[in-house]
Amino acid sequence: MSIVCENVHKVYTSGGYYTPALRGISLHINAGEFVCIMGPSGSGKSTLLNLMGALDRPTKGKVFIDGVDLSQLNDYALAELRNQKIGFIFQTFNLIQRMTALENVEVPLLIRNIPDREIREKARRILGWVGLANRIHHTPDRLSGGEQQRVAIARALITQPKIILGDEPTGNIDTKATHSIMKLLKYLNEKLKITMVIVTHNMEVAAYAQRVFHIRDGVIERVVIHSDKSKMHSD
Amino acid sequence: MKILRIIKFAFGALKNRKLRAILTILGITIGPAVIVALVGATQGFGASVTERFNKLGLTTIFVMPGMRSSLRMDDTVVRTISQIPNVEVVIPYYNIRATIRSGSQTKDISIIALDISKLKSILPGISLEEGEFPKALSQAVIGSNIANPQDGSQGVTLNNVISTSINTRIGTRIVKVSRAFVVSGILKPFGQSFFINPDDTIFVPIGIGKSLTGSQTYSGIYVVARTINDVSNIQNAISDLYGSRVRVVAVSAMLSNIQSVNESISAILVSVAFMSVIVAFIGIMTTMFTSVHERTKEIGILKSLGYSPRDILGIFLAEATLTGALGGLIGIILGSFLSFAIIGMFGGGGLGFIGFRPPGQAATAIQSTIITPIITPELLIGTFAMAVAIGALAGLLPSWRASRMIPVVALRYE
Ligand SMILES: Nc1ncnc2c1ncn2[C@@H]1O[C@H](COP(=O)(O)OP(=O)(O)OP(=O)(O)O)[C@@H](O)[C@H]1O
Ligand SMILES: [Mg+2]
Repeated sequence: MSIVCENVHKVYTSGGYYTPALRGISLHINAGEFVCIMGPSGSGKSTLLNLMGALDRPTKGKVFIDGVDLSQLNDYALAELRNQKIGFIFQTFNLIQRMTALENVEVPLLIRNIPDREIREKARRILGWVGLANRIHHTPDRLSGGEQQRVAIARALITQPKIILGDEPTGNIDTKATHSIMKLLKYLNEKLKITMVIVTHNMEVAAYAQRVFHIRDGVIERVVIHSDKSKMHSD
Repeated sequence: MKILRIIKFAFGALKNRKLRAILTILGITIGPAVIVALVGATQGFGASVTERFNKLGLTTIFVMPGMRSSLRMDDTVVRTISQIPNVEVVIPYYNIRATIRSGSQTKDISIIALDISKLKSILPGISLEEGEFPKALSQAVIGSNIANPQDGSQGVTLNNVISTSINTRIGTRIVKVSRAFVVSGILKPFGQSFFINPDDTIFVPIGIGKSLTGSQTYSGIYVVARTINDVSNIQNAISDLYGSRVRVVAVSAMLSNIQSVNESISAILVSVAFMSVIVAFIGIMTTMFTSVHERTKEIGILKSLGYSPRDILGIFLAEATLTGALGGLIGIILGSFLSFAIIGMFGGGGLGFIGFRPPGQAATAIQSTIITPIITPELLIGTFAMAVAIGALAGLLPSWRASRMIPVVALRYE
C-alpha cells in the first residue's frame, strides 16, 4: 500500500504558542517499500509518521493512503483504516500493562466480528512466530525490552496490516535485539510485502531501508537511496 | 465491539484497581440498600396495619355519646340512623363494666350486650375458637383472655358458668348485682382494636343489657356502612343530625391517619436515600474521571489500534455501569436483610406503636403480630435498575471525554 504526502504542514498550537512542526513535506512511498526517516530531535519525524498513520490531521496539505485522501474520511473511517491496514510500533512499546502478552496481542481484533477462540488461536500463533511461545502469559513488566517489542510487533501483525509504521522501535533496546527486530521487520517487508516506514536515529537501522528521508526543521533535507542487495531482493 | 467483550474489558480494568473499585462500589451500595430496606419495612408495616384494620372492620363507625350534653341513644336514634343512605346495618349495644373473679383477684372486664348475630359485621376478624354463639339469654361467648387468663390463673371452659359482678343503678342508688352466664362459646384471640377489646369481653344477647342496666338508653351504636367509600358520608350525616352530642369515629379514618404517618415517614427516609444516590452519582463520576485521566495513554494506544470513539465510549461507560450494577446488586441484597432488621427493631409491638387503648379497659399483654417486610421483585429490580442507570449516567461525561481524545495527544501522555 502506497503512502503519499502532498505539501503537508503541521502547526501545533498549544498554550498560545505556534510550533510549525512540518513545513511542506511532499513524498511518495511505494507499496511494499522499506523506508526510514532520520533527523535531529524535534525535526518533525514523529509528527510526520503520525500523519501517515491517520493518528492526526495535517494543518495544510494532504495525505493519501493507497490513493485515498485521508482528509475526506471522518474519525470513524480513520479508526477503521488504522485497524484494517496499519500497524504501529513505538519506542516505548505501548503495551497495556495490566494485560498479558496474549491479551495485548488480541486487543486489535476485539473490535472485529471474529469469534473469541479464533482470536486467541491467532494471537498464540503469532506470538509463537515472533519467538515468544513460552511468554504468552507474562505481563509487560515481566518481559525484556526486546520481548516487549516483539509483543508489540505481534499485536501490529495480528490484523494483517498493509503498512507498518515504527517510531524509533529499536530506541529502547540493545544492539543485538535491535538487529533481530530489524531482521524480523525486513522479513515481513519482503515476504508479506508490508510497506515499512521506520523512524530512527540509528545508522545501522537505516541500513535496512531502501530509501532514507532526512528531515530537518520540518522539511525534507535529502533522500538517500540504498541500492544494495536488499533493494535488489524486493524488486 | 461485542457487548460481552466490552464488559470483559471493563471488568479487567476494574480488577486492576481493586481497592478503588471496591470503595466506589461500596459508596453506591448505601443508596439502594437504604431504599430497599425502608420501602420493604414500611410496606410491611403498612400491610400489617391494613390487615389489622380489615379485621377491625373498615366499614364500621362507632357512635358514642358526646362528652358534654350527650344524646340519649334510644331506638328512635337507631331508626333515624338506619335511614341514612348506604347504611348497611345499625347495631345498638350496652357496654357494662364488670368484674370477674380470677383466682384470688378480681379482674375488670366488659360485658357487651348486642345482637350477637351481627357481631361479625362490626368485627369481621372475630371467630370462635370453640362452641357457638349464644342462643339463649343465659348464655355468653367469652374472649380468649377470659377463657385463658394471661396471668396463668384458672380460666373458664366451655359450658361452665362464669360469674360476674356488675355495678348497676336502681333509681338513684348504685348496687352490686351478681350475674352468671353459661359459656356457650370461646373466641379466638383477636388482638388490639379500638373501643372494643374482644379478648377481655363477654358478649351477651341484647336482652340482657336492658335488664342489667334497667334503661332504654344504649351505651352506643355501631353503624356499618355498605362500602368503605360510604363511610365519610355517613359520618357526616350523623354529625349533621346530632352535632357534638355524639362522638363519631370511623375505623377507616384512623387507618388513613396511620397510613399517612407511615407514608410521610417513608417519604422522609426515602429522600435521605435519594441524597445518598446523589453522593453515589458524584462518587462514580469522580472515579471515572480519575480512571479516564490515568488511562489517557491506554486510550491513545486503543485509538492507534483502530478503536473508534464509540468503542472507547462503550468501554468506559461499561466500566461505570458495571460499577453501578455491582453496587446495586450488593445494595439490594444488603437492603433486604436490613429491612428485616428494621422490623425487628421497631415492629415487635404490633400495633402498639400507635399507643391507642380503649379508655376504661384493662391493659392486656400486647398481642404481637408478626410483621414481615414486603420486598417485591418490582422493588428489587427497580432499585437495581436505578443503580445501573446512575452508573451509566455518571459515566457518561467522563466516557465522552475519553472518546473525544485526539489519538496523538493521548499517546504522548505519560
Ligand atoms: N502535541 C504537540 N504540541 C505542541 N508541540 C508539539 C507537539 N508534538 C510535537 N510538538 C513539537 O513539534 C516539533 C516536532 O516534534 P516531533 O515529535 O515530530 O519531533 P521528532 O522529530 O519526533 O523528535 P524526536 O527525535 O525527539 O522524537 C517539536 O518542536 C515538538 O516540540
Ligand atoms: Mg519523535
